[in-house]
Amino acid sequence: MELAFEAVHKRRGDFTLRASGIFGPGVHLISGKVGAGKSTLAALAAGIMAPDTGTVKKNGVSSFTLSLQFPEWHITGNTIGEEILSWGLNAEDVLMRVGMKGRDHDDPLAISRGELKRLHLACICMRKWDLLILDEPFSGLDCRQKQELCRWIGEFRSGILLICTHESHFLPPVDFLWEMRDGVLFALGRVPEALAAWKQAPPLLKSLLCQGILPRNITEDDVREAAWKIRG
Amino acid sequence: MEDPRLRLFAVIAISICAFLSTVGALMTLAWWAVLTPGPRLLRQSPAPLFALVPVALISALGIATGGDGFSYFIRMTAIVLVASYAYQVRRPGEFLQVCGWMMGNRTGFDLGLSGEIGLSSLELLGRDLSRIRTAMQLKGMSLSWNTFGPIAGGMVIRLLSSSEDQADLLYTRGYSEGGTACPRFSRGTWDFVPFFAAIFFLILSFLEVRDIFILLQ
Repeated sequence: MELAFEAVHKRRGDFTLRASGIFGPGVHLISGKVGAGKSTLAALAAGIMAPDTGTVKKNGVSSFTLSLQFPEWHITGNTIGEEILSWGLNAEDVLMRVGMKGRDHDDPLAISRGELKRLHLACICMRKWDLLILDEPFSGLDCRQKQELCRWIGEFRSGILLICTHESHFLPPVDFLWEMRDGVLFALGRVPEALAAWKQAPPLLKSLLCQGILPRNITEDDVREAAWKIRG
Repeated sequence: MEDPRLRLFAVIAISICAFLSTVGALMTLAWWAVLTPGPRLLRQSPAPLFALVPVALISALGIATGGDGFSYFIRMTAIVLVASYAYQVRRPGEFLQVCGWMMGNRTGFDLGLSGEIGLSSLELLGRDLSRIRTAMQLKGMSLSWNTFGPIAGGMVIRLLSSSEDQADLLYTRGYSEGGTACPRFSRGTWDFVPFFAAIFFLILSFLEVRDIFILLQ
């Protein structure tokens, strides 16, 4: 099972994206500044956008989806219940999971963006995907919800998970690290070895790396544990 | 045509020309094909062609009942193509500027603002439709009678909600009536060619076909 970008070029106005690489099973973090091309890459990976040149191939992938940055862009139902049903899920189970029991008749556009994002992510995470692409999954969530999302992602066992984000504090455990720099995709390798090459690493992680300390992974706990080693 | 004033008057003139007669409609089609980037824009975004579906149906009904469905089809096709060109080349704020220039800062501003809100609603609907298609694709859904109702309903609700937001925004900015548009227009080198051509075709369309040949002699 793999997602392959073969010499992909995509031009959008003045911006050009260039990407080559193979995403195998595991959790892949694609980091990069705002406007670096992460969302374009995600759209190309999901097939909702076609490359100008090159190809994007999904080999052995039978089910896939993309979680767009703005949860309201996914809405096709007029009530929360209809929206959950549109994902092929049981409304009660999902509402129970996100702590919104009894709100299945509410208008999905009348709830806060944070609640809608949480609901949307719950719908995505409660289904099994061979390829799941999350574009800025942390936007609109508060600290506690970000931690919860990291825990969900940590439970991801099979398939390919791509996380495109510029989040620098609450990060999930990942297997592979990629970086978008000015529209170009760079494969940094497997974590934790890849961390040394991470140019846009979060400040605390960067300072640890400068002191020669390599955390086990990039989660808040891993970074904190590595920082304690300095004090110890 | 860069100058929105010339474009607006040319579009009005050529639309009247198309409506008056089949010959006028044929002249309008020629104007659209030769003097505007309409054909190129239509190739890039063929969505306006859907407007021709009801036109074709009414025309077919007209022919079937012994009416002049063929003429209706030609005339309406010309009008739809000109309207799609005018919509595709417009820039936000242009209509407000033209109305402000034409009718002043009170009536013109209000009329222009209403027009701009209407046009931006059309754009919003287009963007909404495109997003819903993407959302359906990502969920593996297909458009059916069961899904069409909630989707269309949702689009209308979103549009109404957006209108409410716009009204709130205008109110908080102190709008009650009128305003200052400060119109500024730039003109392309060849802007007058399609403008005068539209006026010329409109004049010709008022004449009988035989009169045109008499004039040519």
